[in-house]
Amino acid sequence: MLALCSVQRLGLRSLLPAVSKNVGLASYSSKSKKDDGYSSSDDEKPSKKKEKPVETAAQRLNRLLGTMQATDRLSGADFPRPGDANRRKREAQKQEAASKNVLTAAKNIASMLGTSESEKKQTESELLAKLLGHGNESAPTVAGDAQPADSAQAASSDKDLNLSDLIVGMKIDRRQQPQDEQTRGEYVRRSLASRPKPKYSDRQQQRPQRHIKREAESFTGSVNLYGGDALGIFKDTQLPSSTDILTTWSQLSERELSLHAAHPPANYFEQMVLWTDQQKVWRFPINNEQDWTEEVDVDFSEHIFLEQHLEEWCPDKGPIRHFMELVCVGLSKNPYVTAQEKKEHILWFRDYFEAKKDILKDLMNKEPAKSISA
Amino acid sequence: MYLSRHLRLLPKANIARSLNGGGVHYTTASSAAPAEDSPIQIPNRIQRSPTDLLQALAGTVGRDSTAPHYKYHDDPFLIPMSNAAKRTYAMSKESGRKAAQWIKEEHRDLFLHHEAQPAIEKFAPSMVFTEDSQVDETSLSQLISQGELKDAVLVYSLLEKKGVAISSDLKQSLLELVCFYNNEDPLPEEWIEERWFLQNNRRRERSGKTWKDGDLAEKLYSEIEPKTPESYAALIRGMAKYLQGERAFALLQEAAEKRIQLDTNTYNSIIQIVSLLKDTAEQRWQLCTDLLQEMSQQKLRPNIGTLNAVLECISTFGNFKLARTAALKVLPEFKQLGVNPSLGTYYYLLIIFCRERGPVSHIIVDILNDIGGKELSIVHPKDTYFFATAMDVCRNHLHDKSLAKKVDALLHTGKNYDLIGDSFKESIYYRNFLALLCQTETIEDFMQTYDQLVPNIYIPEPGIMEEILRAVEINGAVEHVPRIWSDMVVFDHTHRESLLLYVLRIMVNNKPSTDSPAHQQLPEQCAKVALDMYEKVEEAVKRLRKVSFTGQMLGDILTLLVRGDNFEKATEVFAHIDKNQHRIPGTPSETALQEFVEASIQNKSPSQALTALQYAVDNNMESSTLARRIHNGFTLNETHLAKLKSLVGESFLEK
Repeated sequence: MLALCSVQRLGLRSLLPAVSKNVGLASYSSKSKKDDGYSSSDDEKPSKKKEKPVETAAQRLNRLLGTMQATDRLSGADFPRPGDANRRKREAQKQEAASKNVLTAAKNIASMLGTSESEKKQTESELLAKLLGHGNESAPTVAGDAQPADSAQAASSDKDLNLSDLIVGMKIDRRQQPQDEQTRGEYVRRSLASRPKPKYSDRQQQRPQRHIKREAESFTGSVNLYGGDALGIFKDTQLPSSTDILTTWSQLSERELSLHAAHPPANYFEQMVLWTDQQKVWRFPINNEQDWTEEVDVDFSEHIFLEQHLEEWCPDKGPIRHFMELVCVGLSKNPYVTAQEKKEHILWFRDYFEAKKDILKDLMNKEPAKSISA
Repeated sequence: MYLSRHLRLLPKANIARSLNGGGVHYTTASSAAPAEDSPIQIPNRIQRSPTDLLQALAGTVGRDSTAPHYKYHDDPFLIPMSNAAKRTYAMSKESGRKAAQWIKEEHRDLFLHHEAQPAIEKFAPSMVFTEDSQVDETSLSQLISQGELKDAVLVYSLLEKKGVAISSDLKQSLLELVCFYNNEDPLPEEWIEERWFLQNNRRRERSGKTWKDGDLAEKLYSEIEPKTPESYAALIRGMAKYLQGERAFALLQEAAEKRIQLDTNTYNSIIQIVSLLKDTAEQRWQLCTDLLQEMSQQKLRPNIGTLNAVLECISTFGNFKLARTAALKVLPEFKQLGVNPSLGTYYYLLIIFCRERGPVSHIIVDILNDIGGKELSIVHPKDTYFFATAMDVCRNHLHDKSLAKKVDALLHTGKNYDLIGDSFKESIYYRNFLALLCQTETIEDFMQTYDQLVPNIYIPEPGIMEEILRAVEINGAVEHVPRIWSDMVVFDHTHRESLLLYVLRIMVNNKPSTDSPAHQQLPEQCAKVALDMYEKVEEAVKRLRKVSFTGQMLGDILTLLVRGDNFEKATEVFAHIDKNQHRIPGTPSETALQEFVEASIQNKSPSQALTALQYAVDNNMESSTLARRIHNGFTLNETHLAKLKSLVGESFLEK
């Protein structure tokens, strides 16, 4: 008795296996009552006598099973969760397992109650119908009723209901045919279908899906991007734009940014653009003096007409003049030397001839005829 | 362009007249008007940059979808036909350039010829700095401006060893350089292909802290005394960039305590990493608004970087309701400040509003209303994420074809294609685009897009191929199968068993009707596809690839060969089935056997029919109908009759 009482308090999860384990004990208690002639397996006569207690007992059984159902639901473990087929499958399996437990438990009880096959089945199906079709009817209509004296223990409170009490007062309606030959699968299916929608007690898991529905229904199709209330942190909208205090950093980040948008060139023009940016080719517009920085301001005439540098020092005629004119022609055709260098080159000859003036004069005096002919 | 310039050049009165003229075309009006009453006006010279002309010319060259990309067209033999080949070829081309450059650097004494006058600096061998190079401050500052991190650091250490005093400005620049690159040499600017394909490998790296604690950057920082705002800013930004969140934030607070005025971009970098500092959405939002308050107190004007940083922070909120309301508060705030959102802003909005598990949001419609038809340029590093994400939203979140087309139109407006990002993002974009189109468009329309994109712009991955095949199956458009099969062969998808089965199923289930002219060639083509597949798989089996025949597959091939009137090959395939019964899992379907028997009746080949029957009997398949068919179809000789009897008994004689 006591064992059963405590078992009852543990709730369904522990109860169901416990019931099946405690069959021995339960049957013992029912046997002890049998001696008193109250066993449900007796013929109709005694049970008719005890009609009233039987009725309440049945109701109490309902109540008991109702509480079992309630604990089950509150555990919140086995309602299908949205969106996840896998999880749903697992849940279904779990539920099947649970209802299997219920079934075995019901069977055990039935075997305790009934002797004939049909009786057993009847009891079992009644129990199950009650269990699985959640205790709407199991509302404790009898809660206020005075409990029969022979079940004094049970009278103390709802919670203290125990199986053996119920079983003692059980009546079996033999007139009714064992109504359903339902398979276990059908039970499960029915039980799943008839389960109530999960209550809001578990908001956390339910919220997202519920939200989806609400949002999708009420959705107007447009988000007003800029129409909402501003944060209101920056009140002064006329702030001067702040410059980056890190010059190198901002250069680098700008370069990196442009690389983000850089693609492999898609045609030859883009290739040329790339090369131009990398400074591998000359730039448009075409200009063959490009990057010729040192002689930008030098006119072409300064390259070509070099005789002007001779006027100041060179004799008007004679071999030196002749030589220097040839030097000028040569220099004027040389594109690789700057005008300044050309001038310096000529002036170097000036200094040279200046230095060798004496020797030259000697030579000229000695061989005037030869130099003239040359 | 032409039109607008002429309009601008006209005197105002003329424009007014030509506009009032209504029917008169502007160009004719403009060419006639100056001749009449106004003297010729020579327009002012418009200064062009060196690349303007080239860019204008490049703008005239569109993307030719029938040609491979420019980088591949040097050698027609090397036109890539798979994603792997695309990558390999592009990278090898660049490898060649790298090798050439290596040779040039290694044997610098051999490359003395300078063709250009003045010489082109880019082609000169680069400076090599060693332990005993003569260096001074100018070379250091030059290296810093070129972004040559390694050499700059080397020169710095040389200068330090020599005891040369380095100006604080230069030190600051070096600190910024080191912080920016986290003291790791960046990928040289020139390797454009490498950068284009880089993202494929780098995806995972971004998550963890990579800042080098106690490295050169912090040493440089400690050397700068007294601490300037610049030094704080550089170190904070460096730490924030390489996700050293706590220390960056601590530095920021330290700077605030010392009343050091920082700048907007430094705050941006901290806002960006708020998600590293706080765990819950509420705390993050709190810190984020605190930082914005601080900025406001310091009279710092926020910029686009601030907007995107705040949105990035919001996008990390788990609580999407808070995220949405916060985002919708931030946007008007910045609008008031005159900060124009960039594509990166819209990217963050998309990931805030369109979450996988969250409610459906049509924010992309509003975004497209905002930017549709505009030519955009890059202003923020995250701008390149927009298109791939937008297409992803179109496909997975909204499943909306028309939106996808709008996004695609935006991508192809002006130079917006530059913002596609890199090869990885581009392929995500097209993957989503094609997958969406093949689910929502009619097969004919879809095939048009397919022809445009495949293979030169995008090559479908096997998963997308499966989607396409599904679309073909749903539409029963078996006429496209030969085309798709040849693509699959080219893209090297033929070792995917699921795809092979799909193709076979489509061809077997949609028996081409002989009446329509479009289907005239189909049985033959299907037979060719089947035969090709048979040979491919056979070859693959020899090479120990993972694909192998199943009975179902062979049965389908058999059916297709029979339908394509290729009885010879069909017998070969059947011989293969028959011979390898024990090795092939499963059996061909009964209809396949029936069709084969029919064909052998037509080809008057009773022995083949009997082999088929024997196979059916051996494999415990329905054989009586086959037997009856054989009995009725042929006039059998004694031996054949005897065999038939031995196989199925006398039952076939009963009618």
